[in-house]
Amino acid sequence: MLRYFLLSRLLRVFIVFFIIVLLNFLLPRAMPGDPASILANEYNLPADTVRILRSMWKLDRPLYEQFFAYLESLFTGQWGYSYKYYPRTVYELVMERLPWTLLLQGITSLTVSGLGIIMGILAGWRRGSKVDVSITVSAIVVYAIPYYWLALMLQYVFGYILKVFPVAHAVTPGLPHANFFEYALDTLWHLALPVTAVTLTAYASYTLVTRNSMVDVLEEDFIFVAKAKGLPERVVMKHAIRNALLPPLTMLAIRLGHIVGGAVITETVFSYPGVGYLIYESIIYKDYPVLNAAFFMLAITVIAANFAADLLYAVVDPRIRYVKRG
Amino acid sequence: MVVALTISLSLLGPYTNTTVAQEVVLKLGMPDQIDNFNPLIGLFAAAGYIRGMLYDTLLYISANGTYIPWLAESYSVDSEKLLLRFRIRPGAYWHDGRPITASDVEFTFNLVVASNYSDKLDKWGLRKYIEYVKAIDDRTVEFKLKEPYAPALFYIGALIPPLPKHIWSEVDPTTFKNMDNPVGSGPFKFLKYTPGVSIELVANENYYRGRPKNDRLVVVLYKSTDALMLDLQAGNIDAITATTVAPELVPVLLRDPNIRIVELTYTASLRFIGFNNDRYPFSIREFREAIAYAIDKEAIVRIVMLGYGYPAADGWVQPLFGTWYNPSVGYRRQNLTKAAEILDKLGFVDRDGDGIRETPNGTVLRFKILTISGLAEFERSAELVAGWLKRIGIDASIEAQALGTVDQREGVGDFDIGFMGIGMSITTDLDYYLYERFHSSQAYPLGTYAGRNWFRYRNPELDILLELQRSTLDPERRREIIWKIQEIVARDIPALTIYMKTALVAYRTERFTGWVESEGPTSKISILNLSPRKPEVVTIITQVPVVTTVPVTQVREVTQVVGGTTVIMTQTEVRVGTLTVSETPPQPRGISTETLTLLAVLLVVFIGAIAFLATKRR
Repeated sequence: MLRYFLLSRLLRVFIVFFIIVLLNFLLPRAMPGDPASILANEYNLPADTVRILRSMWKLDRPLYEQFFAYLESLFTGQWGYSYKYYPRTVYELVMERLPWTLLLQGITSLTVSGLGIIMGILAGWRRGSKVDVSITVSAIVVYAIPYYWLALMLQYVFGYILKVFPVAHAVTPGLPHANFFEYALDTLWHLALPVTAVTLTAYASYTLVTRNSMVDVLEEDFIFVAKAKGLPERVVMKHAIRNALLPPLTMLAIRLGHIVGGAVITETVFSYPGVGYLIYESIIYKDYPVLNAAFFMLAITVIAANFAADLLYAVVDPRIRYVKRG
Repeated sequence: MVVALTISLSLLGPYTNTTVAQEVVLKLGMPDQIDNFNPLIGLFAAAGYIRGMLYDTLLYISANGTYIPWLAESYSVDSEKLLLRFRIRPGAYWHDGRPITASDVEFTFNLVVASNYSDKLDKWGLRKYIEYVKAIDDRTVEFKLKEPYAPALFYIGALIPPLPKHIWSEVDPTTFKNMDNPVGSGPFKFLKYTPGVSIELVANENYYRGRPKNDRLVVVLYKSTDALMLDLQAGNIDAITATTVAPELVPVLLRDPNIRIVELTYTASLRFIGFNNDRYPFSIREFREAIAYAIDKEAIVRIVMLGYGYPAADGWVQPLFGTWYNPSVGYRRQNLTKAAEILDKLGFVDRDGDGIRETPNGTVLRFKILTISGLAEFERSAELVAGWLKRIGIDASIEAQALGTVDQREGVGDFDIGFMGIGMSITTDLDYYLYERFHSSQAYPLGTYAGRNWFRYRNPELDILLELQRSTLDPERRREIIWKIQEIVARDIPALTIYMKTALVAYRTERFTGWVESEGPTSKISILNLSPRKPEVVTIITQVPVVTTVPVTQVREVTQVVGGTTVIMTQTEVRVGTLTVSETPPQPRGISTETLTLLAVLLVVFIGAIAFLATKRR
């Protein structure tokens, strides 16, 4: 049965994938404006330059030729040159940012889901108590704060007034690091504000979902029975948590799928190197090769993460079995 | 997950094992816009700053527009204005130690105008004008022009830097990004580029103008101006470059006694509205003039720019350009009655009494002002313009769209009025701003993309003058032509200039002295003139008694001096007293013990709180 499930899922994944590949090509080009003239406008370039750029980037070729070139670039892994950052390659641009994105997004995924789930379990377990009220209310309040404002405040208070954390960047500019340990510490030090900002604004959704799921589970008969049997609270809690974790794990899987997409606002506010800002810039400047590569990458990870989440359910919750319908 | 994090951490760039002794480090902040370090194909202004530090040009164009012999110790132009000769300074070396010779210059310019790559490298159309480039001896290089071409000295002398032949002859210059170890001729050598964080340069020990007094130049890259300004205020960077201070930030920055704000005299940004001259009724000169009379340029400067700007002259060339600017060309002051009169005379009257005029054939005067979204300055200005147009009976509304859309629509002529902006600098030849902007050869028919003359302005009289100024090398004669061009543009107003946004830059005074404000604090001349302050000076400052007063930032007082002269907003000029004078503590350059303690305490409190909540059940 599992084999049938895998096959049908894989088929679906492939269909989705091909639609994405097509949209990937069409959508950026459907936006008005062409990359060369946008750059010309921004940097006051003479008409000769624009003509040169257009022919260099083959923008003067017919669309179908561009499409075949695009397919070729995707499947050979030769992503070509970025338009905006010409003659730097797309691969180079993405790769110098991807590790930073994975680091930031990885850590925030951990902190957001970790904090959110723990808070949700506490609130759900002690439903109606002061603990529940304070956790829920504070979560909603923090959730309601606009992210960029919170980030700017953190920068201002901790970076400018108290000067305990750096305002921006991923490492101290111009500081030679004596060894790897120092380098890692410097990196973590720079991560403090971005991670705090993201965590504070994003954990609430996990908290609320986990709490509600927890409350539902606690209403169920097996918990009643467990309590009636006189099992210690710890054991009861363990059973409840295990059943309540499904929804937040789904959320986490979706989040992990987007991990390579970066975080535009965080990267902008904290001048953190990452893929998100690159994608944002590429949209503004119609940097087709970068957009194609980034969305391609994003599509693959999202599909893979969702696929993994489906499989993971079965592991977390033994009751879930994939069977053929009908 | 933890493993993945460790791996990604370890991938993040190399850490060096060198411990640096007491070094003088100058830190500049600028936008994170680094395309490449190839001076022949790089486009971005921010990266251009780095390219400028790495590569010297033959001449240095100073802030007043004069050429200073730089890598060339002298240059000459023959009487027919066809032969240019440059003599290279003795004792000039590339960063790798090889001497800079005339053959390097010959090689570089031949690459641009006479090589297989010329198609892609000659972005300036120099091939049309340069007959040959020849090294006469080791130190002399000769350029022969086909016909007199006024901007030649600018392109050859001040724009394209000579490149080392021994390196560039072995690469494809159209795809060479030159980021691994660029070998230049400038005051600083390349050390390291950390993407998204910084570019580090070190002083060139063998620099022919003397080694810079700061050992290292760290250019810190920012994606948001807010972070950049915070770091400037916090003292983490000494100056900003390739970006400007927003007017509303001036009083905030001036609260810090160590920050100085300078208005750059050689550059400013022009804001203008372009009319679609191919679309009725914008094709009528008088109609455009009526709109010009409806607009209050002073009010926009006051309201939108908070005074940091000045009304722009109608003739496109601005007072910024010194003698090239025709002082008899001013700008039309707002005169709503006159505007209404013109419209009445044209037969554009309100027939149905709805407050909006109609054309003689009954079409309502209803237009859209197209501008770029997300730029508050543009949108606010465009709204003011729309408000004034309503008062003369023209229904105008704002249409703010993404840069690409705006660019495309203007290019193909799918617009009525476009509100746009461009940067202007004396260090660029005026031909650059005029020819492609107004020559009818650049005005393609509606539907075909026109890069700069998207107003689609065609005037044979002006075409002749535009061509003539290119081939006139006698400055006096050329000035007359350019003055005439301004008169015609001001008369016809194919596009209406609105205001000039002054370029305000800021730098900190406590760590370095010798900033040359007239050239721009971060210009090459200024950077070379910098020297670190002696520690004693700092001690003396700290002994100034603290006087508390209200910091007065008198914006008006500062901005009344505009146009041509440097306006320096010093502490003493704009403040009544000192707010606080204290020694700036050395900036944390890593995690301090205090920080670690604080972190630990926060962590313990946090874990404790959770543990407390968890254990205290029921």
